[in-house]
Amino acid sequence: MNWRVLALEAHDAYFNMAADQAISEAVSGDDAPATIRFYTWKPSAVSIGCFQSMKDEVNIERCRELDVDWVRRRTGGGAVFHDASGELTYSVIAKEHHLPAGIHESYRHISAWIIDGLKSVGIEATYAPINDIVVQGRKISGNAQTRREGIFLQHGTILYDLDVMKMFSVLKVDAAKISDKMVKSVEERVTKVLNHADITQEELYDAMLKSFTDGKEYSMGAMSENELTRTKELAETVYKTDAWNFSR
Amino acid sequence: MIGLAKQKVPNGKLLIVKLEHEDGKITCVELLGDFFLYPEETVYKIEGAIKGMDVNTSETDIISKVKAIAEAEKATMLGITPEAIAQTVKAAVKQ
Repeated sequence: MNWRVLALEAHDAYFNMAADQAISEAVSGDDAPATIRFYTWKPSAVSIGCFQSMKDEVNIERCRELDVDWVRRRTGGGAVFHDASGELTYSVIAKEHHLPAGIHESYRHISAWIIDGLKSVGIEATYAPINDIVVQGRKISGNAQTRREGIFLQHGTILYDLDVMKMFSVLKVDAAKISDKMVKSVEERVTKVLNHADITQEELYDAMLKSFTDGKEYSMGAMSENELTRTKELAETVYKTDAWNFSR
Repeated sequence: MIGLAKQKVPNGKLLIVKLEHEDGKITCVELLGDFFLYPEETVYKIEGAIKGMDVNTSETDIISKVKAIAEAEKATMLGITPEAIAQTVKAAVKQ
């Protein structure tokens, strides 16, 4: 199988989530090959899992003040703050039979690509079921997957430079709880690449590009015109709408 | 009456149940949290089955109902269980 790899691009939250769906549809219709995509979020954004409540999880007023977008994902999992310069996001989109059938097995399978990439920059990480990758017990990567109409989609983030206070300001946490103790608690549970390796965000991307494609036939590619048109349509009609984002 | 209960499922994820009940019947319910459920649409079927239940429905009966839906939908739950859903629904009703 020849994978298509979409090089790192920065887009807003609505484009990013719409692109994952548009590519999934194209792969399902045999209009696109299995795809590995790298992206960042510009402006910064909060994404929530498909079973979460936007009103409960996200401080919308604070997001407005800070020019932070908010979007509901098609995947489960928790709320994530995607800092424009603080993380790297990937998506893997393929027909289900190209990846391990079991959910845990497929998480483990793709986690190995991330773990190998981190290892290549000197960071020893391990898979922590269900959907995390940890370094010395602290989370450095969160991942989520869905399988619809025979298509496997997994996307996830690798934390490069987490700003805990900024994260707290957009996620709905009682102001009283944002104490030094709580920040310390998060920093004890979460880590970032910069805590372990003195590399740039671009060097992290290079490492992940190499580990995600290692041993695979692949070509660097681009989204087709149809995929881009569908992405823009989905961004406007689904991912930007309150009907979708505040549906729960 | 409005009820809300939360549970961090052991070795799993956070499950929040929000519901309303009137005259002894659950009139609306939402299962929220950072869990995974495949296919995702199964959540609406589970919510639909809980809606209309008598508030005194036993935990065992709720578990059976959720398991039957999961089996019919060939659903996979990650981070939650039918038992956790039943416990949290009962806790929300009691509030």
